[in-house]
Amino acid sequence: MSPTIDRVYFFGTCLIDVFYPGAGMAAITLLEREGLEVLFPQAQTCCGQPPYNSGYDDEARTIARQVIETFDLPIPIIVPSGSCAGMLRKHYPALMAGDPLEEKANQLATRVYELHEFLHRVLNITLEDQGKPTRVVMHTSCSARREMEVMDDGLSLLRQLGNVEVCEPENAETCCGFGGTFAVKMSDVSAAMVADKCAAVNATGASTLLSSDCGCLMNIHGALEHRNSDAMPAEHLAEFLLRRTSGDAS
Amino acid sequence: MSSKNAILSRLRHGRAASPANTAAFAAERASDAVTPDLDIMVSALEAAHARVFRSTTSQWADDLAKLARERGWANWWIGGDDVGRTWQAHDSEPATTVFSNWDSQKAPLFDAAEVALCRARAGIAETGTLVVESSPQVPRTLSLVPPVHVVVIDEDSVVGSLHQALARYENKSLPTNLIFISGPSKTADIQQTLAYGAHGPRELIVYLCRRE
Amino acid sequence: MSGFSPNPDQNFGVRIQEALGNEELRESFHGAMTFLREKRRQQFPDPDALDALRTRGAAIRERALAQLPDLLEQLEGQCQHNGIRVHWAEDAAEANEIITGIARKTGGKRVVKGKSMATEEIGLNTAFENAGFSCLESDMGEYIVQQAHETPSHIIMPAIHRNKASIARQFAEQIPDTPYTEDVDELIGIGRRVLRRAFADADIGISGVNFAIAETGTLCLVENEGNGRMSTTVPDTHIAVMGIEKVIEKLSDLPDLYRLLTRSATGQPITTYLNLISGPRKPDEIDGPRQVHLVLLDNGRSRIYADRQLRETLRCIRCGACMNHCPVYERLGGHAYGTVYPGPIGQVVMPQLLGLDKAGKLTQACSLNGACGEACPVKIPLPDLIRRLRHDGVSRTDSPVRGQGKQRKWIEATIWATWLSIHTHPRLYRLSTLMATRLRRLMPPLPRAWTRHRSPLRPAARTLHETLQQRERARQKESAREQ
Repeated sequence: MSPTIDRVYFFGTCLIDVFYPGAGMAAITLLEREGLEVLFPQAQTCCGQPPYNSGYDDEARTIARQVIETFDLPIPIIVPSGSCAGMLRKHYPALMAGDPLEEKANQLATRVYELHEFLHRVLNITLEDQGKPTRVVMHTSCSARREMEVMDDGLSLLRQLGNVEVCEPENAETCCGFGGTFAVKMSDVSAAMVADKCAAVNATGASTLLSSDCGCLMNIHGALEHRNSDAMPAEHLAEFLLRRTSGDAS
Repeated sequence: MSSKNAILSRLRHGRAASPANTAAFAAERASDAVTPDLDIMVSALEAAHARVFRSTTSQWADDLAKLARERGWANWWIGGDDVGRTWQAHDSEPATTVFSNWDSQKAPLFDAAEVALCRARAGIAETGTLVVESSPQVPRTLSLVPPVHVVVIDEDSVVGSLHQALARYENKSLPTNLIFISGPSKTADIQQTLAYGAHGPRELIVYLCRRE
Repeated sequence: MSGFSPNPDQNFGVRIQEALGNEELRESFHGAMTFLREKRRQQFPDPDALDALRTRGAAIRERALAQLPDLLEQLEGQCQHNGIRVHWAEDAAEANEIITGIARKTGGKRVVKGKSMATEEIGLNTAFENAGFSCLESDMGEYIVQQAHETPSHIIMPAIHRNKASIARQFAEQIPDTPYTEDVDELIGIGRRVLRRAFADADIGISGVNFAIAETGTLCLVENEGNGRMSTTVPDTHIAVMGIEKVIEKLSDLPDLYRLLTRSATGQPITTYLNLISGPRKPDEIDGPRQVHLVLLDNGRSRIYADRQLRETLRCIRCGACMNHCPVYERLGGHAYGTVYPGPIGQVVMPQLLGLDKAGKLTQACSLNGACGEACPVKIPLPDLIRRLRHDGVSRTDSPVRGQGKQRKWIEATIWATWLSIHTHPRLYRLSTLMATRLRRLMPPLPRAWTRHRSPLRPAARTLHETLQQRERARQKESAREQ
C-alpha cells in the first residue's frame, strides 16, 4: 500500500448498520481524525457471509459481485469486523474462482483491512488516554485471531491507553458460540458455549466488555444481560478507543 | 474386476480428473542432523520413567549384579546376544533362562519370567529411545512380556534423531520387527492418570556404556 | 459392538440434548480436553517451528496422496516380498469377509485386537461375533468400553467419557474376584492380568496401521501400552487393517509424521513404542506370528480421492487434535455424534462415508471458529471442508458425495432467496433496515432460539446508512450556505 493514502472505503457491515451504528461512526471518526477521507458507498449491504457459511454459495456469489463492483476504486477497504474482513480477504478469492470477476476479487482481497489492523499497522496511530482508570475485558473474535491474524493489533492499541487495565478472559482463544447462523441452528450448543464465555468474562472483574466483532459482542453481551440486567456494558473497540481519546472521555 | 483393480482404477481416474497441486508439497524437509547429547538421552529416558545407569562396556555386568542382589531377582530371561552370554557367564551366577523355543517356553515366559535382558542396537538421544531389533538371538517378546526389562546400550551407538536412526536402514532390508522403546509400558486411559505397566514391562532399566 | 449408527443425522438433536444435560459428562470432557490441549501446547513452544513442521507433515501426506495408486502397488509388492499377504477390500462387508475368512482358516477361535479405528469403521467386532469368534479389545480404554457395551467417544482415548469411579464399579461387577478400587494403578493392574491371559491364549491378533511404508513394505504402529505389540507378536496369525490413504512413500517420511502424531495427539514428545513390522517370523527366528496379513480398505476413500478439495481429508493421521480443540466436541463429547469418527474430522469424514442424507446434519454442529484447522498437524482445512459439505448438502450441483442436496429445506432456501433479493437491491435493503429501526420497539423478539438464552436484539434508532446520509446532506447544506 502506498504511503500516501488519503482516501479509504468503509465497509460498515450489516450488524453495525442495524444494531451498532455508533461503532461504525466511531470507526469513521478515528479514520477521519487521521486526515483520511472516508467513502461510504450507500449501495453496500452485506458481505454475504451468512449464506456462504450455510452453504448457499450462489447467493453469496451474487452479493460478492455487488461488493466488488461497489468498492471498485483502488483504495483500501476498512472493515470494523474480523469476520466480515475475513470473508472479503480470505473467502472471496475461493468463492469467485472461475467467475468473470475472479481477478477483481483477488485484487479486492489485497485492499481489505480489519479496522484495527489498519489503524495500527498502516497508520501506526498513537493514542493518548484521557479517561479515568478502568479495567476492561477484551474478547478477540476467532476470525480476528485465526483468519485475519490481527489479534495483536487490537490489543496493542488498547494497551496504549495508560489508564486502562486490559485483561482477557480465561480460555480467551475459545469461540464464544456465535458463529452466525450457528447460534440459531444449534442454539443449545451455542448457549453452552456462551455460558462458559460469560463466566470467564465475569471472572475478570472488568467493568466493560470490548470486542472488535459485533457478532461476538451481541452474543456475549446478550447472554450476560439475559442472566443479569445489571451486566457490564459492552462496546465495540473502536467506540471505546474514540471515547477514551476524545475530550468527552468519562 | 477384482477389488484391487477396481480400487486402483478409481484412484487413477480420480487422479487424472483432478491432478494434484504440486505446489502443496514443495516443502523440503529441513536437515535433521542432530549431534547426539548423552545427557539429553538420560534426562529424556528418566522423564519417561526409565532408570538409567552410566557404566562401561566392561563394568555393566558387575553393576547389574549389584542391582540384581538388591532387588532379589531370581528368574532372568536372556536371548542369544552378546549381553545375554556375558550375563550368563557372570561371576554372580545369575539364574538365567535362554529364550530359544516359543512353543515350550511361552507359558513360563508369561507366568514366571521376572527380568529380561537384551542389547539395544542403537539409541536416539533427543527422545531417549532404545532401538531393539528382532533376530534369532533376540526374540520379539523378550523386550515385551517380562515385567522388568534391562537394556544394555553402548554410548557410541547413540545417534541424535529418529531420522538418523532410520537412515542406518536405508538400502538394506529391515528386521522383521524393529522396535523403538522410550520408557516402560504406560497408559493414561483411566481419567488421564498415568499408570505404568499397562501390558508390557513396568520397569525399564538402562545401562548406558562407555566403550573400554 | 456396533453402536455406531448408519444414519447419525437421526436423533442428532436428541443426543445433543442428552449430552448437554449430563453434567458429569461435560466435566469429564472439559477436564480431559483442557489437559490435552495444555500438554500439546507445551510440546510446541515455538510457533514458527510448529508451522514449519506442520507444513512438512502436510507436504509428506500430499506427496503420498499424489502417488496413491502407485504407492499402494509398491506397498503390496514389498509386503509380499517380505512375506506379508495383502488383501484388497472395496467396503466394510468385503473387509470383514476377508478377515473372518483368514481367521476361519487358522482353525483358532480366540481373537485379540489392538486399538484400530479402521476396524471400528467396518464393525469388525460384530462380524467376528456373528462368525462365532470371541474378539477382545486389548487397549485399556477400548477394553473398558467394550466390556460396558459402549462405543469409543474419542479416537485416541476411547474411555475419555468415563471417570475412575464408574470404571471401578464396572470392574468389580464384571471381572470375577475383583474388589472395588478407585486406585488407577490397581485398576490398570486388573486389566493387565485379564488381558495377559488373553494375549497368551489368543490365536489371532488384529491391529490397525498408523503408517505403511511403500518403499520397505513396513507396517508402523504407534502406542504406549504394548497391547499393539502383544496383538501383533504373540498370536500365530496377525491381521492388520488399514485405510488405503495411510500409505507413505519412504522410511525417511516417518520421523516428521511420527513426531507430529504423538505431540498432537497426547502432547507426548514420543510414545513408549514405535513398532515397525516388516514380515512374519523367519524360519530361524524364535517368536512372532507365523503369518501376517494386510487388508487394504477402500470404503469410499477412492471416491473422495477424485475431488481435489475433498482429497485433503485423506491427509488425516488420526491424531484427534481437531476434536481436542473443538469447542463443540468439548461440550458434547464423542457419543453425541453417533459416529466412528467424532468431532471435526468426523464431521468431514462421515458425510463422505455415509452420504449427506445420512450424516449431513453433523456439519451444522460447528461455529466455523477455525480452532481445528489451526491444530491439525497436516493442515487439513477442516472448516473449509465442513463449509464445502454444507454446500454440497443444500446444492443441486455435482458432487462426488452421495446424498447431495438432501439437506436442502424449502424454508431455509426461501429465507436465503428473500435475504438475497433484499441485499442485492440497496434501496430495498435501506427501506427494510429503516423499517426495522422505526419499528424497533414493536418488533417481536425473534428468533426464539436466540432469545431463549440472550436478551432480545433491538435495532438502533437510526442505521449507519441513514446517519451517514444525514451527515452528508448536512454537509452539503453547509457548503451551499457558505457559497
